[in-house]
Amino acid sequence: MRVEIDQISKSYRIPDAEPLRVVEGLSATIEEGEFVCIIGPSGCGKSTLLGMLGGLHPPDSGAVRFSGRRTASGEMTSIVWQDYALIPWRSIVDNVAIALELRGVPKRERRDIAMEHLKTMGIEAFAKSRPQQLSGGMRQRAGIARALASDPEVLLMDEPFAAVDAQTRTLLQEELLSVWERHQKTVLFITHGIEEALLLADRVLVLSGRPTRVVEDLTVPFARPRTADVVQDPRFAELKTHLWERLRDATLAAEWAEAKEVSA
Amino acid sequence: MSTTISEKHDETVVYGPRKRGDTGPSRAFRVMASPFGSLVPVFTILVLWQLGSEAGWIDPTFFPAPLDCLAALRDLASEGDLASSIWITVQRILTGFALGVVPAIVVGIAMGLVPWVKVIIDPVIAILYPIPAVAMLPLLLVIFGTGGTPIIVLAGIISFFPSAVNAMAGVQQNDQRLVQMARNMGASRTQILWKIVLPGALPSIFAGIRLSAGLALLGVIAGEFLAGSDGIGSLTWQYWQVYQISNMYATLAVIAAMGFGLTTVTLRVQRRFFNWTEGTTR
Ligand SMILES: Nc1ncnc2c1ncn2[C@@H]1O[C@H](COP(=O)(O)OP(=O)(O)OP(=O)(O)O)[C@@H](O)[C@H]1O
Ligand SMILES: [Mg+2]
Repeated sequence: MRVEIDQISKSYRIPDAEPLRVVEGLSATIEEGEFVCIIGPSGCGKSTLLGMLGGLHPPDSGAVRFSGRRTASGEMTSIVWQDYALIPWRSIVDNVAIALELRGVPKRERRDIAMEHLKTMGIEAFAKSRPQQLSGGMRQRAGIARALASDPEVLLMDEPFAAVDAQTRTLLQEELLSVWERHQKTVLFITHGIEEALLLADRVLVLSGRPTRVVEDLTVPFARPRTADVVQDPRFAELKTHLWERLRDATLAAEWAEAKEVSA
Repeated sequence: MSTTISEKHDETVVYGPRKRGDTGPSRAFRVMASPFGSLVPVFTILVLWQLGSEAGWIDPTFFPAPLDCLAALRDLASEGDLASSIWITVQRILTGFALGVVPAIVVGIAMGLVPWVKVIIDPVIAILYPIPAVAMLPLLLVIFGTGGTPIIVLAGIISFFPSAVNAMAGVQQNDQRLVQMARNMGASRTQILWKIVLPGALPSIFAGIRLSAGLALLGVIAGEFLAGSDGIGSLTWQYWQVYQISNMYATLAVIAAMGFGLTTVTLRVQRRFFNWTEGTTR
């Protein structure tokens, strides 16, 4: 699916204060099967943007259009959450099967499908465990399996690896790439990590501070399939510096704007 | 000066493995902490009490020896009065409990889900909750006459509040992340209610039920003390009035056992079904 974000805006109403303008006139296009990473200053509205794409809240104005041949059977999007959002009273397999359960797929069938996805993520041994018995890395593997089991056109990932340790993160990044190369889903991946963005993405979008819009649209030139070795490519350091500068400008501008708001 | 420095240099601190024996609670501790072990201190007190009575240090007029109470209990049991009294009281507890808790959970959930219901009912609860429910007994006697009904209603009223308040809190404190996750997965409002919000509220609802169960017992016994003509509470009260202290202790022991049974059963259920809460609810 091609995702076309057309001039969307969103502000939050705050009691006894000006509304907080978070996203304003933001446009971007993500091609079918593309892997796009989004970076931007803290609190600039990345999760808000993702929520609009995931149908959690509608934009105040503008539209998000999904177009193209619909190949998957499930919802248009599935979100992979930073804090996993696994249901604590359910076993891992029943967590992964939830989308199918909501659609009324019979128990045997949905468990079989969920088990397939657990195998894809290499965690079938934990099918009967509760989420809180698992490490962060294992939980996020379950989070990805759940998103895949719902068979969406677009995967929306909100800093999915921010809460795990560095080694686990590297493993998860490689696993995600191999899953993506097999499933060919469109992916939108929010991160704070410039290196992570360069390792994973076809394109990196840099967002400005609030109200946020796209200030940089960078195509990542590294060939696929990729491994963690791309960091040795001389262009990697160059692109990293470039992205860092754009992000720094955006962050400084956001901090100045905030300071002015506070002192005003 | 120099000697002090060299002494400091000689000092070696070793962080090695723990010595055997100081890894975790000892065996004796674990035995004492088990349900069986928890009877040991009680039993010890009873033994000391018995010995004290036999030695004449404890006045049997107020504190009859445990064995005498046990004998009294046996006599009461053989007369057949005891079993029927217990049965009457148990029936009252269960009826009053059901009468209070079932509507409480419905009302509590409705308050948690629908802001309008909360706005209307919350002030009523705020006024009624702090009133000691026993104070309503005279009113209940006026309305329902004598007999079992006012006692059951009293137990119902007392057990209503904790279940209602806990059910409301459980629904309100549902995890918004999980609700959002479910919405993104295409869940309808009804599905979110049944699959996320209500299951998530269960531990809190059950904590309320446990409190209510204890209060239902309290309400029935208090009601029987003050207005009952039968039931174990009324029996206890009668033995006090005719000064049959051993019999009074015997029936008190029965009441204590009821309370103990109630706590144990509800705790078991809680541990069995709500073990996923990671110690967030007691
Ligand atoms: N429901 C809400 N009501 C009011 N303000 C909100 C709400 N949700 C988010 N905000 C505010 O909107 C801004 C953008 O939030 P958002 O979570 O989208 O940012 P983010 O870029 O994802 O931040 P982070 O880097 O911390 O993940 C923040 O200042 C946040 O405090
Ligand atoms: Mg965010």
